Amino acid sequence: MIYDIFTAIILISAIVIAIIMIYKSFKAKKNKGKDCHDNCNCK
Amino acid sequence: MILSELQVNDQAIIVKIKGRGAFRKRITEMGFVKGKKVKVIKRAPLKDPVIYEIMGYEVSLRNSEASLIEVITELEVIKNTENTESKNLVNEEFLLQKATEKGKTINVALVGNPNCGKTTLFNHASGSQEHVGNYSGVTVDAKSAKFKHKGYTINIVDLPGTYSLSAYSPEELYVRNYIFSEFPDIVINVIDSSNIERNLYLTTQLIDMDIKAVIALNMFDELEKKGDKFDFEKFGKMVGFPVAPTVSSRGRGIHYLMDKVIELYEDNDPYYRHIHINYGNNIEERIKIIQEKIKQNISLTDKFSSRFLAIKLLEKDKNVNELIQVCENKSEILNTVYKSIEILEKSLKEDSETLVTDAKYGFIAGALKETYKDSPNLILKNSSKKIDSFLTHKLLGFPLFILIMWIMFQATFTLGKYPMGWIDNLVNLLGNWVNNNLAASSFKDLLIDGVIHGVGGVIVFLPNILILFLFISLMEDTGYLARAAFIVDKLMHKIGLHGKSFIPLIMGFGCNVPAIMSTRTIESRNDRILTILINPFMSCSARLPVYILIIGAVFPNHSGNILFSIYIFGIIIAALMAILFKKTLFKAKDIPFVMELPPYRMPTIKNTTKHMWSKATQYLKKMSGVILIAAIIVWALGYFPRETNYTKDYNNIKNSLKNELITQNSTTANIISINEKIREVNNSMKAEHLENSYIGRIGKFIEPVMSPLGFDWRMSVSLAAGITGKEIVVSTLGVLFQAEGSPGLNNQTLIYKLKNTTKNSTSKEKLFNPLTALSYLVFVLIYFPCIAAIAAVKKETGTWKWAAFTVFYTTALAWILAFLVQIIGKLFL
Repeated sequence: MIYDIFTAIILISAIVIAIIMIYKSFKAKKNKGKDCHDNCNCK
Repeated sequence: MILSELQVNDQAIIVKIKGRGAFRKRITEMGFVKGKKVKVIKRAPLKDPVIYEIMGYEVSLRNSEASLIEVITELEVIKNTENTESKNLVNEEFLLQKATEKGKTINVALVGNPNCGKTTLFNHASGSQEHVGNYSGVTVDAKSAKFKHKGYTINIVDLPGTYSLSAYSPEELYVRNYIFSEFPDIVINVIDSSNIERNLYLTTQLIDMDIKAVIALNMFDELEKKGDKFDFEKFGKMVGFPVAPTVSSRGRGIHYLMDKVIELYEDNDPYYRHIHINYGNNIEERIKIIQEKIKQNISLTDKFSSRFLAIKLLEKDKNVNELIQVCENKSEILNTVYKSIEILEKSLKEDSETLVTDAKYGFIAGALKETYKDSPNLILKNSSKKIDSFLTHKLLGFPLFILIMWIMFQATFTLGKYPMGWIDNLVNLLGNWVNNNLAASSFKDLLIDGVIHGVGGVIVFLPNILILFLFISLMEDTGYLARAAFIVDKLMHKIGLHGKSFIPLIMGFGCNVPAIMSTRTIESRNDRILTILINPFMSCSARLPVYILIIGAVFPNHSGNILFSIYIFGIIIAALMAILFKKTLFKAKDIPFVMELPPYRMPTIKNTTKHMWSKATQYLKKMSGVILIAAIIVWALGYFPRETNYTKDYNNIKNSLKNELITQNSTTANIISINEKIREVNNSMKAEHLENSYIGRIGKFIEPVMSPLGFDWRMSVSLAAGITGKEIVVSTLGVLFQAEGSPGLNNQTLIYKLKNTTKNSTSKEKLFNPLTALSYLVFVLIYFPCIAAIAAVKKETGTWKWAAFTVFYTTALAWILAFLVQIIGKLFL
């Protein structure tokens, strides 16, 4: 019984972490990525 | 007159916009262009900023910005007109005419090394008689002259000769201050053609300053006499400055030079563009951080490029240091600079000034390598050149490059085998220990089948990845990677890419995510996106375990060749896709870029180990993160639901077999045979359970799409799981094809299982036949790069469009090619 609880806790944590990971990887910062002229840091 | 001098309600016509490229571009975009009427609407209470009316709308400009816009007013024209009749005729049209005339005055400054012939050029161009001599330092202050050329009035200023624009000598400071305070419309950078490399150092500083310049290749006849060849047009395209060869002592080329000056002034020059010299990752990162701090002072960045200031601060330029004193956040800027210098000097073991200088010479060497050909009687001057003459040799260069690549891959696989075995044994030991010390439960199954099998199956490949990165790091630190890019440049051009794209592609063999991120060094957006799009076809290290596993199971006798072919196939597909994309999506013309050739350096143990350590931690983090989570989820999907309606009463069959074992007069042969039967029953039971589990149902759902490729539901599930990371394919196969009764599944048993698994329980046809295995390998190579790579594509291209495109086109292409493998393969097998 106690082992099943462990398994359940691990599984739920894994699912929650997976959702957070996917969310985080898609929420990457924007980089306009234009040509040097347009995206020139010297501006 | 300048715009900031106008009073409220004053009107004027814009004559010219001064200042550096980026500033001019921004102001022009706002509507402040030559010949347009501008009116002062009102000033802010503190007199700054000011609202102007231009082209029918109101724009606010700060005084610092307005001071860089030259205008002409009615009053000014009347004052300067002697003829009274003309005075009465001053209307808008007349004003515009005067503005156009005034706009045809070009202020030109001559800069260059001492004794490069500036004054001779100045004399010839303007008809002056300034003193010249064949030794440096003849010009000690600025001399100016005025002359007409093709309807333009050219005010030319001859500045003292300087080797650089640092603040070391009064001349250098004088020239720099002149450029920044007088804002000449065009700078003519006079270069001594007999000593181009050294002379170009000053050019690199002009590039950093973001100003309009024309390069005068003076004493060009001496270069020709030496028998050297210089493709100066290509060079001009690369550095973004137009180039004109001149022999000023005979007046040759000066006319053409002035034509170029006018073209550039009128923004009609096709070559002019602002480029960034790439100072290497470490320095670029620090430049960016310092720039961010400097950019908070807009009045300063209107006049000076924040990048130039950041570079100068890293070079410990005292004068720029003083310039920063006016900034509100000066202490913040300076602290960042000191910290950056400390970090750079500590990590690269060089003075920060030397580092910047080295990078500039690397840029020059790269630009000249592609455009300059020494005459055959060249005497090798320094060790870098000596090594280069061998490593980038016309005939030897390419075979040497292939050899080095071959050694790299060979070492990755052969040397990696030993530590791989050790880790594998450790994983097995751990599996056995858990099996013997935990009571049967779902938790035990999770630990052994999910965590240990899943993660263990992937962690064994850590040594291979470290060896690969050891080689990449050594190539990078010694400067060979830059040469490799140079060697393959021609080949890359054939597929529509540039040599610079080669480094991200090579890095793709390690991991596509940093490889995609490293495309930032490619200046052209088109080339950058193209490199990003084909990068997933470079077999990343995560795919290596899949290849090794499948090849080991199906092609044990040709493993090396098949593995090599898979990598080559990926490269060929990348090349074909690049050609296709270049002809369809990215038709824009190629812009040449300089490939820096940094001097050869001895790699330091510290740097190399740091590099490898960072890769190892990255990989281990992935293990403890995404792969562990994925392995647990895949295990759970295969483990639940626990209730299965079996087609046979397996427990009953097992019990009767066990009874047979007890009751029969067992010979050893009998015991083995009954145990084998029990094992088979267990396997069938497990297989049936898996088939009915959630993962089985998912697999069955996608199976119809994958079955034309010869894939069953388990193979389909492993591929679906692989979108989180290609290592997951192996761990999923490990969980799905788990070997009954062998705690701590190792790769050998998994290979055995893959080799012997049949398509279904009734068929004897092997699931992984050579054709299906090849289809599977091709599919793994080409389909959906992992989620992290897709996120990197989105981040670097700045849009979801390319990320989504990558997902669909790679997966569709993978399916088509895997299908073709099946169809074509069947014709031969």
